[in-house]
Amino acid sequence: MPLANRRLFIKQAALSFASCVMAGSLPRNLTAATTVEGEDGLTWQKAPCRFCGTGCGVMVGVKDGRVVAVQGDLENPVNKGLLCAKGYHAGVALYGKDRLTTPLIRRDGKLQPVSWEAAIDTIASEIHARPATFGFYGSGQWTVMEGFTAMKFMKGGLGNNHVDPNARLCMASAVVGMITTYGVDEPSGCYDDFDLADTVILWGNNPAEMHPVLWSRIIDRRAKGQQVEVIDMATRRTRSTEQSDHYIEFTPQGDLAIANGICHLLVKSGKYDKEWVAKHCNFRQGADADGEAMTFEEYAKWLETYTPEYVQQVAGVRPKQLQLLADRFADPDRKVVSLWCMGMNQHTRGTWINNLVYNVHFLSGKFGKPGSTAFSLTGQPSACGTCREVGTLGHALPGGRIVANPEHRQQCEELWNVPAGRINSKPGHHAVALFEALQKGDMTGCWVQVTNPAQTMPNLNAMTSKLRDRFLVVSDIYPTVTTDLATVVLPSAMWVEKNGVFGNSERRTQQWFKMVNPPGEARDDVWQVIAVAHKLFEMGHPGMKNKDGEFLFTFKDQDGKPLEIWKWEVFNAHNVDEMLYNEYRPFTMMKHKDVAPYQELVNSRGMRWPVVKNSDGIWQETPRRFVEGEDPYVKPGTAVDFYWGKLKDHKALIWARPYEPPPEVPDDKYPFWLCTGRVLEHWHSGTMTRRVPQLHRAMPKAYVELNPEDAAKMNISTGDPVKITSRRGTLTLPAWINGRSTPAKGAVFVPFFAEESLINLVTLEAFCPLSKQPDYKKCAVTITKV
Amino acid sequence: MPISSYVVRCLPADQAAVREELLALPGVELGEATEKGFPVVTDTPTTRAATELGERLQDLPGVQSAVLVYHNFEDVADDLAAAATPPKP
Repeated sequence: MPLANRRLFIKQAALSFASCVMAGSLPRNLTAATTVEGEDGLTWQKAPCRFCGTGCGVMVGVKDGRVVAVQGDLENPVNKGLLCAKGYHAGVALYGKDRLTTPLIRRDGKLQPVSWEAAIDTIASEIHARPATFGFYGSGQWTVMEGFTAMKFMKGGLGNNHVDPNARLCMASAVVGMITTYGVDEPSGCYDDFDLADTVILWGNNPAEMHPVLWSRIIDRRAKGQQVEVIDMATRRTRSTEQSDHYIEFTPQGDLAIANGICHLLVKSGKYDKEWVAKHCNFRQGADADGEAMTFEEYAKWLETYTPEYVQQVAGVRPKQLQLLADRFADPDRKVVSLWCMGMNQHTRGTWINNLVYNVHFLSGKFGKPGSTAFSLTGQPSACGTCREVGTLGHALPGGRIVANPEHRQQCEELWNVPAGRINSKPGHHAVALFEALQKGDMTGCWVQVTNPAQTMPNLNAMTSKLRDRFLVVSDIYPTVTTDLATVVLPSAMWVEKNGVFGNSERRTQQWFKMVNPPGEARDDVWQVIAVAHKLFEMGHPGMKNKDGEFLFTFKDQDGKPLEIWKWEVFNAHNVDEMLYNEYRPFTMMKHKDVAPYQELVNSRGMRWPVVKNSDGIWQETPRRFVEGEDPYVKPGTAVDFYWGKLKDHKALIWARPYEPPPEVPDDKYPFWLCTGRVLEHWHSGTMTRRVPQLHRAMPKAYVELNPEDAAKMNISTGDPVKITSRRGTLTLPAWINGRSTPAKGAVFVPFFAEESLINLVTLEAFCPLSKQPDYKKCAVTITKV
Repeated sequence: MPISSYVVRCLPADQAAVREELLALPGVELGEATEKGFPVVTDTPTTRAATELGERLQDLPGVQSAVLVYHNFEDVADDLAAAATPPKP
């Protein structure tokens, strides 16, 4: 087709699509089918977005074996055709010119191209020699099957529990918060609650930049004439603040006091939901995960400390502001949603603050009702679907199980068809402990997939400076500061270059098919692990045999013949993802986290688990867990049933968790708070988004945000180089004042996306003792104009 | 190329003025308006121009939001690949 005609063709298709998004209807050629031939001559297929935990639906346009176009998926209820800046450029991120295309091994200090056979042999030999001191560091950007394969290899094969993901750094506090509050992980509510809330409260998160499509889902309600109030509680003013009705600034870690302060006012005034509390809650006290029983009267007495004056003293929040929050929860007719993300999770008392926000919702009865819930927003696209549901954590097993429980180990051994006693009962290292052990040499090797710890671990000098001396395998798509330290680098397939499944924040499991080939010799991470496992099987490692003496990853064809999926050409010719998913699915049922059958996911835009066949034989998803009429596992007549309640009484726990200051606070020598985080344009360590010219141009380098009054006192203007120094390290960055965000006085903010500006040289590795999640949001620094 | 399309929202009272502003921008074509606003398609010679045009749409007086909904970069895919490498430490 001549170019001019082709342009016209595409413009017509583009305009038609925009018209349909506006009207909320499907284009005539783009039905609910998951693969279509578009008006523009491209083949379009669905996939969840590669980036954040929102899980937007994307339609990916392919021409001549390349991704050339992206549009929002109108059929996906998460985003209904809208995407953010990163989503549109996910396709471009596949084609950076320095994509890794060949395996590399470090020889004489330099990474040199080798064959896959050589790379696999080298890795297998190392693991064979030192199987117990080899770890696996995975990711919330792992597909479900990538996590499952690593788990089966390590825990079900080697009997080694040293598997932990980068999701330890983002969601662990939310996980332990939910488990200690209602006995099982993952949110009760769903995105539909955002469409119904009268008041949305942000607890230290910035959704305008970090979950932009969900943010616009809330804010766009105003354009439709709906009243929705947003209260932004934060330590700095952000783009979210601009569209909020109230901004409540608090001192870092003061959130603990604020939550208790709201409860204090509710109980003191008597304006809490006594019936809901009596029916659905017990009280607990103590610092750990088990605690001790407490009566309501004891809890009420305990709350007396958290007067508005005390909350102002420790959190900096004025009594009128605290009363405003309490009034919202006290109003029986008001639907309230609380949202949070890293501000609460990356917190040295992250588990506690998660418990406390549930307390507020339970006391006020604003939970388990449409438009009223406490909702943890997930950062990564499959921290839920992979890390949390497959259990890729040092202490965990798939489906909500733990290695320390003998019944759980037995169930997994049976489902994996491995000999009894194969799975080790001792929990493996969590992320910080894993890297500390690698630093000391107690762990001798590690395989890193889909993450960049040499940029993203806290206190980098203490965590990663010795990695070059260990046997480090890195599977990635681009060179990173972590591949710079690797012994072996393996080129990986990315996103729609492989089959995959992700699970988003609202328990929606979403599937996609491979659409284009990976470049050069890049191959799926699932295949890489299976290939190493088979080499170990050939070397006689007993852990690579199942109970029948066959290879651990044995799948058979319709004639009963094992498929040689350790051979790339065989793997590539079959949908191994589906085979692994079918093996995984039974694991999910014990804790009522049933995921949908694979074909149901293929034919839909994902389904929210638990997915159970109803009386009409239809696979039905669960919008809200624990709620009668929506969750099939709820006992009839209970309205809300916390069926995994810790005390086995179908109730949730209201925890008395106190305010405690952070371990490092500003002092005379280091007088500023440092907070770190993301920006809209870049995903995590920028390895993908900085290779998209539009995104790189929009945000080309890191900076340090200062409060304008602080900057004026120090004679610092935008662009001036500023040295940021902590007890651990130092970094110089250009200042940005009165930009898109403004820290409180005495605080600075630095984004972590730029590998040439490693702010994690400065951060602190202190972590929540219950969740083991580090706190990237607060440490003490000094600021000097250079 | 690249070719993108947007949903541009504005109040009915502002539609006439917004239409004039939009049509004055090079590379912009409008679809049929509804009470919510306009579907808009942009066609620019480079990705830089596409990004800048998108920002200008958002900043036009009377525009409540300009949301990107479709993006086709088939003619510039190779240029993007050649251009894209982040700075090294």
